[in-house]
Amino acid sequence: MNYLIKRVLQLIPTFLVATLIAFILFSLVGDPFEGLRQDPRLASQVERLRRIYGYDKDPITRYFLWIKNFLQGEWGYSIMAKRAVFQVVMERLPVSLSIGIVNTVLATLFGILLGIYSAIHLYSAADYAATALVFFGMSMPSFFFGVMALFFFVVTIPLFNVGLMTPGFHPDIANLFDKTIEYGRHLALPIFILTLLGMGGFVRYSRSAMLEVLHMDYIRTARAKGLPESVVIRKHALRNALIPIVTLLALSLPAIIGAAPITETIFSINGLGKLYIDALGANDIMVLMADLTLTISLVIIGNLLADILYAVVDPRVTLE
Amino acid sequence: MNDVLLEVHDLVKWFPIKRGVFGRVQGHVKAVDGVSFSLRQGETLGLVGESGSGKTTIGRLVLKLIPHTRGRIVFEGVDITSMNYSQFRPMKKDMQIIFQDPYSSLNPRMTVGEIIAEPLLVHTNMTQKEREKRVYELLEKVTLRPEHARRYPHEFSGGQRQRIGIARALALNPKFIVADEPISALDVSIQAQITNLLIDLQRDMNISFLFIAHDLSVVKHMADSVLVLYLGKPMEYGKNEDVFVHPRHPYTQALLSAVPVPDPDYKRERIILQGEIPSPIDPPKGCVFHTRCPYATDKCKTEIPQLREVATGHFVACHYA
Repeated sequence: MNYLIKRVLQLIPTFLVATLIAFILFSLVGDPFEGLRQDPRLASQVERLRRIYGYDKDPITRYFLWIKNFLQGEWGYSIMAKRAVFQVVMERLPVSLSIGIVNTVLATLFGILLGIYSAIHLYSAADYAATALVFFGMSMPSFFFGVMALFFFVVTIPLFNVGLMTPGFHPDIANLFDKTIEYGRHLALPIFILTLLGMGGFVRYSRSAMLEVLHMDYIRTARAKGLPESVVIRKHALRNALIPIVTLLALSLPAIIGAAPITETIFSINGLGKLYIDALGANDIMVLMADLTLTISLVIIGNLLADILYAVVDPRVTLE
Repeated sequence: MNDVLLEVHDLVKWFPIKRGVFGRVQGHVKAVDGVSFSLRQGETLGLVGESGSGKTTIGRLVLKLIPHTRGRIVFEGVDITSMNYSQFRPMKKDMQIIFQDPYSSLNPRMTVGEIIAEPLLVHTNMTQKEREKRVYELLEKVTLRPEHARRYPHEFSGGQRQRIGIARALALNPKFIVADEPISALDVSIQAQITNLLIDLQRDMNISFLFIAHDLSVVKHMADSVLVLYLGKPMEYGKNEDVFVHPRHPYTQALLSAVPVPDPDYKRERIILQGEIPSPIDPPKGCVFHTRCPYATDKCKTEIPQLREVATGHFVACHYA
């Protein structure tokens, strides 16, 4: 328990250092409000905004002002949207979450299953096929699959839709079933592609973890006990092979809020990833900072989770 | 008492060597090459030989943990060599193994109780309560305490872990146990404890052991009969006294002369073997031992010596024995 408290306290400096570095880098870009002066309706507001967000002071002071505001849910002003950043991000979050959660679940599930199948049927045709598929998926960039999928399944055969998962999306469809279908037609392709890309690591990882475990002496012990092969695999091999996989799982936590800016952009999905790309183009520093801070938080929490889960699944490890 | 429990006829195991992209078989490691023996109920057969002589492979073959190449294994009058895994599985109740390495042969994610109870779970219809009781009994039998059942293997020392392995092997009251160098990973004082534990268990439960070891003094202490292996081939086979008191094969004699004697004044003639054990991929022609035998003649280089009975129940594979 003491260890846990210590570990959680350690997260605070990590978070501060990571966000500070990001903040300073963005500060190098320059004054975000300068562009607003072009707009006669907003020109009078510029000085007020600069004062509110500390742009009349030095970067370090501004950072502490930012972090104080951030923790209070005051995430700044989006130049693109001309609204509060918090609002913008919260609108986009459900879209990215729905893609991210489904994709992470599918990628881990199929990845682990395929990896285990490969390991059990080592050097079989299926193993070679899985390996080839995985390497192909891992080495092709996401825009390759994205564009191919767009061409074949949206343009040539209009099975799926693209684009604009904005709030109030299809308000005309009241029926929940129809709504689900419509959402599905927009989300299926990006989810499929992200699963294909994300699966690779899990396949390779679980295959090698499983292979290592299958060569352990206690697997021979289990066979010598006279257990059915399925029990040997499930109870003895799999449970031990899952130990390293659990870590990988925890570390992929950031993926659930959409580490998919390219895929979202290709399919014109208005999630956090596309928001990030758009914000980069518009020099919308406060949006970038908010998005990055969310990712940083998830990376840090994922690491903590990995440590804790490791102790949960492996009795040899204690949290000391 | 004198029923033959296990008979092995001309057992052969060749491991194929695959090379290249297409895994073409380029030769074989002749790990076990024509071994026969029989084991009676309640007795111990010692299997001795250097590293790489095929001792461990024989132990695994007998339990069908690896498939054999040729030969016949008969357990209680039933030929087990032709059975497949699911047919053979129920027979594991009677045939168990104690592994050499007590550190890696226990599943680190299971408690000791779970490890020992698992054979009961698959082979018997015991209830949870009965299994628990049996686990406590077994732990006591190997001089561990019942509360150890809730702990994990990494919390135990090497000797204790080997006792857990023994308790696991005993769970189903087997008639036959392969002890695959059960003490070679332990330090000397613990070796004696484990050896004595095995002897006590054999006496109490009338178990037959196939005792694999390279420590001859332990085999001499435990075994009723002894089989000496070299490069997967039997060199000498006979009763304990035959092999240890009247060794006829030069290889056995050399092995025995290498056993340390706890007496500094004792002078003896050591037979020092020259060179290394040859590769089992390409064993020497004729007698496999001729490359290192101090008495080798031209006949040994060309003619394979058959395993002959030189005295009642005492077999030697040497032209000059």
